[in-house]
Amino acid sequence: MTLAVRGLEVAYGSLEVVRGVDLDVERGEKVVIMGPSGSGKSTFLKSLIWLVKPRRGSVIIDGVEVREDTILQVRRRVGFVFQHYNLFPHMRVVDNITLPLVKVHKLSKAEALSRAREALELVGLWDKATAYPLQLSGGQQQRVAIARALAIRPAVLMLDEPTSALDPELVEEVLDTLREVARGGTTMLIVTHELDFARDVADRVVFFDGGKILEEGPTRDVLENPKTERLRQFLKRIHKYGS
Amino acid sequence: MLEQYLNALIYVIPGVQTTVALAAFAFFIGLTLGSFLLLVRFFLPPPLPWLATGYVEVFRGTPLLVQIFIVYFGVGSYLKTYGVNIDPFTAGVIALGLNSAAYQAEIFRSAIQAIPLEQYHAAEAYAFRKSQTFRYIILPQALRTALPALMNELVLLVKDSSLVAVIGLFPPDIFRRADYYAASKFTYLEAYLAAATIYFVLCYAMVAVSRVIEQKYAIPGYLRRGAI
Repeated sequence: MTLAVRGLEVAYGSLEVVRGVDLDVERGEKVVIMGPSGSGKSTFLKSLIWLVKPRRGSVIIDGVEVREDTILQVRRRVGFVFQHYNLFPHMRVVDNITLPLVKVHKLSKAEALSRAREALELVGLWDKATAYPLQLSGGQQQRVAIARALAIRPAVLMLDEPTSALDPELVEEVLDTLREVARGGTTMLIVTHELDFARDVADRVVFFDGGKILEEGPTRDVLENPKTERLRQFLKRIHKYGS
Repeated sequence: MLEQYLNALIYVIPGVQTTVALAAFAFFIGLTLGSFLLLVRFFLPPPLPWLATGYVEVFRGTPLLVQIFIVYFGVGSYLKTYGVNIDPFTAGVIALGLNSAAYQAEIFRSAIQAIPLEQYHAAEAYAFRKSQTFRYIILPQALRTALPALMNELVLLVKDSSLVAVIGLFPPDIFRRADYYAASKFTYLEAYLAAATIYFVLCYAMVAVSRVIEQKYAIPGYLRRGAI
């Protein structure tokens, strides 16, 4: 088991955002999380590595329970991709990728560089290695962010709405990159509303509503035969407004 | 009148040395103490950050001239009873430096607070420690943001250093030399215009230099809103 979550609760002050979530993800599995805005899916993902600290519950990632004294160890095993890319704008693309490798993972500069190259070639942006993030399009920045996450060779790759901040014509290049990544066998946990993408890569879909998992199961079952009225309506809505 | 003005200019120019030295030393003290205040505010447990904030508020909330008098006449005469003499230049550097530290601490604070939360999240997600986050991610960006305000602070120091002339400076600064000239020749307008001219040229040159530095260190691809 790469990820095991039990009874996770997260609150912002008195506002309970995640209200008791259990989730298991096997090694190599791709799991897509969907849900209406405000359903707590993004907070859930962030709380797994304590970007938002959970109030209750346990998280085990790659065999290590997340605690105060293990959080850095756990984070070293997770690649995280943010909705707004969150690259470091004052560093070149290649340095964005090598910085964690050198400073956190203690690789030599040469090793870090060869990993950065490998990751950038996978996302098709090695030619932009010496550019600065803000000189790239949003889609390219997100692909760099994906490369940064892959370069640490994570036990699990977490992606928080990786295409939501992108112009429509840039969405496909990022999704294609992620399809490519998915073929590599990385365990992936993805918050997204892209139905076609979910059908292509996800083994399982988890539907969040009101801070809880309302429905989950194999991708086809969940997307083709939703059991709850809530999910049926949600799918209808994103079909109408989606691509 | 033009001749008087030019004569005054020639007489006042050597004061640049004292003025620049005052401002430079004060800036350096302010930078050191200001950085220290910043670290206290960000890294140390209460009540130390409150003390640092208190320092900032006290120095921002009282007039610089009063601070100069407190250091020179107040603390200075107190020290004299212990046989320690501080000259006006030293007192001026200390007062300006302590004052500038408060403003520079504020400049750093706002530059750091301008960095979006996302940058901290990215650093955290990639398992950087707090000190690493500060050193590799926050500080390099904050310094770029702070640069224009820091250069502005230096310009302000050059101008505010003229207040130190009130306690008598030796060697005299721009303003004090202008004073001498005005009093000896009874050409007040020409003398003070000459002083103003020299301050202006100094400050304008510094602004020009600061623009070049800002551009050199600007983050590539970062578009400034509204070209100035």
